[in-house]
Amino acid sequence: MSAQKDFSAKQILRELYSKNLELHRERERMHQILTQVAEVIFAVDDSYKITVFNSSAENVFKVKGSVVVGKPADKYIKLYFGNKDKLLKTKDYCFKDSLSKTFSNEEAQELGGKFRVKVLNSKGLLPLYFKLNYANIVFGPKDKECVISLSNITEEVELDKQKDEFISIASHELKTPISIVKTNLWMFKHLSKEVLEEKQTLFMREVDTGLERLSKIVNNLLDISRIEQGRFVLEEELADVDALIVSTIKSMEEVAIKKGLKVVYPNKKVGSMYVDKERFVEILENLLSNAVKYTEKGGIRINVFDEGKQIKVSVTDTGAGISEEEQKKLFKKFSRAQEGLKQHSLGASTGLGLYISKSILKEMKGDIGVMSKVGKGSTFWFSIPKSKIKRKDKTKKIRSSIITKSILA
Amino acid sequence: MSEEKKYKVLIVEDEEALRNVYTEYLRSEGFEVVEATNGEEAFEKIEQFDFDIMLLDIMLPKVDGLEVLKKVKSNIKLKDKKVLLLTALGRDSVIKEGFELGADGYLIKDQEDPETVKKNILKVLGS
Repeated sequence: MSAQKDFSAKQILRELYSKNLELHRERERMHQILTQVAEVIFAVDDSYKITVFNSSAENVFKVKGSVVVGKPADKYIKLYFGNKDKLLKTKDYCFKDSLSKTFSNEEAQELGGKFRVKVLNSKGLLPLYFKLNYANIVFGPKDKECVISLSNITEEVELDKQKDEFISIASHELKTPISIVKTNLWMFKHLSKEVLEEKQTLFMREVDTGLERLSKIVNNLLDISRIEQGRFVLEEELADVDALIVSTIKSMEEVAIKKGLKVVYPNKKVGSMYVDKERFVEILENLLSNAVKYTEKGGIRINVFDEGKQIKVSVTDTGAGISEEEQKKLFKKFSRAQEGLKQHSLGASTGLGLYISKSILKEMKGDIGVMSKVGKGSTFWFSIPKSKIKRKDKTKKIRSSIITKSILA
Repeated sequence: MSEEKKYKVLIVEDEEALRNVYTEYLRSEGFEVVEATNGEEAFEKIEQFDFDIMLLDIMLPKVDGLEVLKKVKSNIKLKDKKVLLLTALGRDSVIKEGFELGADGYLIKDQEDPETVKKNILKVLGS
């Protein structure tokens, strides 16, 4: 066929007709998908007026598409996020590359990658959770649309809550018997100080070590549930960071030296700042004990850096190193779950340490990370914003009346 | 502890196995100790026993520790009495609540041995 030469009006018309039909079918198909899909879907133009509103959206927002199309989205679409149910407007996220300008750090963290929202309609705030996804479609410089979808994730959220509650209850129930054993054991030792034989003392020490381990695991689980349920509390006070670092290294040094490792103390100082001492020590202890655990020869070097607005602490080891793939998993919850509770010469671990450290640092508005190459050792670091004044008032009362306590083992 | 004064401690704790140790140890260290095993009993004891300091478990059967604390700190005659919270949970938002209600400190049960408990009692009492 000599199609390229056939330009008759009839032929063009026929072609146009069939293309048009195709287009029409395509539109109809898209329209059907859009309306039938279980997801709530709506879209706004560059002046945040509604352009698309599917039937799931009609059901959830309890308003007809014919009513809302062409109207300002924020008048009809009421979404809330976070623990405090803050209103989320389309203006806050549509056509934005980064959320940091619209939200405070805390809010941005709450939204995180999760974008978990609740919906308010004429019946009130729905007892449902949705995951919000959005995509910006740019046709031209002044012609753009933002398509938003909401998937119902209530079941997921509820399951997650139940799991957290279970962990919380289980670990709480474990805490009481642990305290009973610990306290009575202490009393037993107190009363039999002079009469115990050397061998008996040795066995007793093993009981202590085992209990300490059990206690630590349960505390880790409790911390996790606190973090997930937003019940985590920081207790900041003015602290000599250098002294804290030195005393933490000292408490870990013995084990390292026993393994034949060299321990190098920081050669700089950063001074004092407001920080939760107990949590600071916990994070550093965690990094140090990991370094000792995974290093067979060589040593561990601790450094501190004053970076103006923040301080940074790093722990460098000469261990096996961690592949990039593994590095990504390190700070996730139960990162070592696939290995189970692997036994080390230094005791079992839940693989929760780094996840907890990361969560604590998130509360402190700090950060944690790792640089490592397989065969070249690893450097774990964390940073905390410097603050000469108490950051927030929320824990003031606790801080001012806190009692000096023994540091968490 | 000071020789001239025998401090009076009211221990409110439902776990017998814990309460016994605290009581026995504190008595052996020269304290006068009265026990209550739940919140209701604590209400009775605070009327009868002129204590200097109360060791108060938060999670109690019947009336919880925070209720007992509220009652003590809102009573003109009792509000200057010292209260140390005992918690199994550790650092938690419930502690914050306790401080807001006027607690003088807290002790985490599985982290503080009886001797540390004693030291903290003396510290709060200012000896």
